[in-house]
Amino acid sequence: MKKGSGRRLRDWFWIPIVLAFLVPVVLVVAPGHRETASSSGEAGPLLEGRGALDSLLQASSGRRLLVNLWATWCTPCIGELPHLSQVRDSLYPSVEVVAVSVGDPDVEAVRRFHDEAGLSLPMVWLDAAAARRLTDEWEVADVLPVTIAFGPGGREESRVAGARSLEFFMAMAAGGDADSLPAGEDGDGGDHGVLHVNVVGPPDSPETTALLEEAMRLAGDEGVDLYDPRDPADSAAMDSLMLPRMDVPYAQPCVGAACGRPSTTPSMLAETAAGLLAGS
Amino acid sequence: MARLQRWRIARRIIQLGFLGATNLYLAGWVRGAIYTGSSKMFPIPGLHCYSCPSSVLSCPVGSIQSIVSSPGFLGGLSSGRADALALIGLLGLVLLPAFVAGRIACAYVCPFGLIQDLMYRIPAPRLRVPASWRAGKYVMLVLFVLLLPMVLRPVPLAGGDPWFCKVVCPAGTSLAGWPLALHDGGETLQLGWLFGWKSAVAALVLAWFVFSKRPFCRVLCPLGALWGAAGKASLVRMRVSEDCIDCGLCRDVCPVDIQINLEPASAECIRCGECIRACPVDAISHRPAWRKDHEEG
Repeated sequence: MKKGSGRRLRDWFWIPIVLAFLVPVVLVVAPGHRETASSSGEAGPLLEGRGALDSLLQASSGRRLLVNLWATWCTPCIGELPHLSQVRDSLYPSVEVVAVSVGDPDVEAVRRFHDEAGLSLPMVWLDAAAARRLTDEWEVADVLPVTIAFGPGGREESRVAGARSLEFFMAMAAGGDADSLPAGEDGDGGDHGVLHVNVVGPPDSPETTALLEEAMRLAGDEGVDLYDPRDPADSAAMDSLMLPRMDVPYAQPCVGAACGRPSTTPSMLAETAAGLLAGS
Repeated sequence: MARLQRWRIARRIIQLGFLGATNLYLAGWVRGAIYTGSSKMFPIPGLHCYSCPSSVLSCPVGSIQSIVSSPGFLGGLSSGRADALALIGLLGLVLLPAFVAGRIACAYVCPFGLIQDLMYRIPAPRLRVPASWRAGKYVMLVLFVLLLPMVLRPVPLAGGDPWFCKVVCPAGTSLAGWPLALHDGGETLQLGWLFGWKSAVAALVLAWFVFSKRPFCRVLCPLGALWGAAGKASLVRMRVSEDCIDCGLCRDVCPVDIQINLEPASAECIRCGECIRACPVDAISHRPAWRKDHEEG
């Protein structure tokens, strides 16, 4: 057959063959085409790794999404997670809420908390490298908790650092932008913008003394509390404040209802506090 | 035809040699795990899944998608971010053989090409693929390897998806998905409907290999599209002299079903050299690009 003498129907069959591959693409990205997890009532899953997080986020396309970054050692985080779980219980499936642990080097601590708390929102644990990549990509300062709201189209609508109340998160889930949201700081986090440091360790330990001196230099005498885990009264206070128990003395800086990671050296404390003040 | 047979055997030995050299991690088939050593930084010049249990190199098509689908790729490209600029280095590496001799890697290196060559030896009715279907692989390259991974971002602030791997690639399904799924027994891998879709695609494409000459290379392979386009500027090209008697034997022996005397500069030609050995009047040869040839169409 000479060129240009007209094409037979089969000459065009390659087009539907190639276009057929768009069918699964459309099914995968169609808004809200898949359910993520349980709707409410029962404990949500604990997943591990960035792949699991991306799958959760992808399955949430087409609905509003709150992503909460937290860690088991972050007292304000533990306090606000039940609020976020309540938001999910009330608004799922139109709103999804995912809690991402980005500060726990060991998944076991997260698993223990997950099993004890029995919250309905799905949780994801990231190891240190994956957590660092995520916070770099999302441009999150070294402060916890952080909650980011995404619209149904995946665009970021608002983000807040520091713990918030149930009312605040309900307004956030309704699509309010950061400026219009109520202040809603949770608990007794203290004055916003003022540094407070909890130092935990035996008072006679040189490490504790060094941390205490650095804490007082940063936050002043009024801004520092010392807890001796061997003292029953201090130990009870640590439990009520949900301060983590570590084998070595540490200092945890907080600004308002946002906390930095526990620091075991004065230089680490200074760096964490500076990041916290910059990010809160 | 004796010299054609000798050439074919030599080509088959080279193909098998490359297959062995790029699949040294044979323990992967026993353990149901993939190799994760540093050699996986480098792409094999052929379509061979990163997740094939024995593969010690990566797939160039998968690597391209991985880069263009990374978070903030377009911004990174314009601002000179290293991971985005890696695309240029990767393309340079992948295109190197094509600038020398077009799709020569399809003929001698690509494991999926070898599978097609071998399966076409199974006695069966023969189906000719219309020349117009060749356009399909360019659409595959642009749409599923470049455009969709670059622009479809359903996950907030995250990257895109490698759509060619995810919904098309029968090499990935047959040489990685199926063996790993069999090993896993459905315990940890989440084999959803997409796995069913890809399995159906792979089964159909593999069956097609029995009836048509290298149909995947000609209709669907994005790597073939990339190499075919680059091959237009290759250093070594095909030449057909005026001695050609238009017997059509070149097409009969051609693994990709082209008649070289009609289209000596075809982007489809995989430079296997079989037509050169089959030509009864020695009218077909290689020629360097800088030597003018009035017979080239």
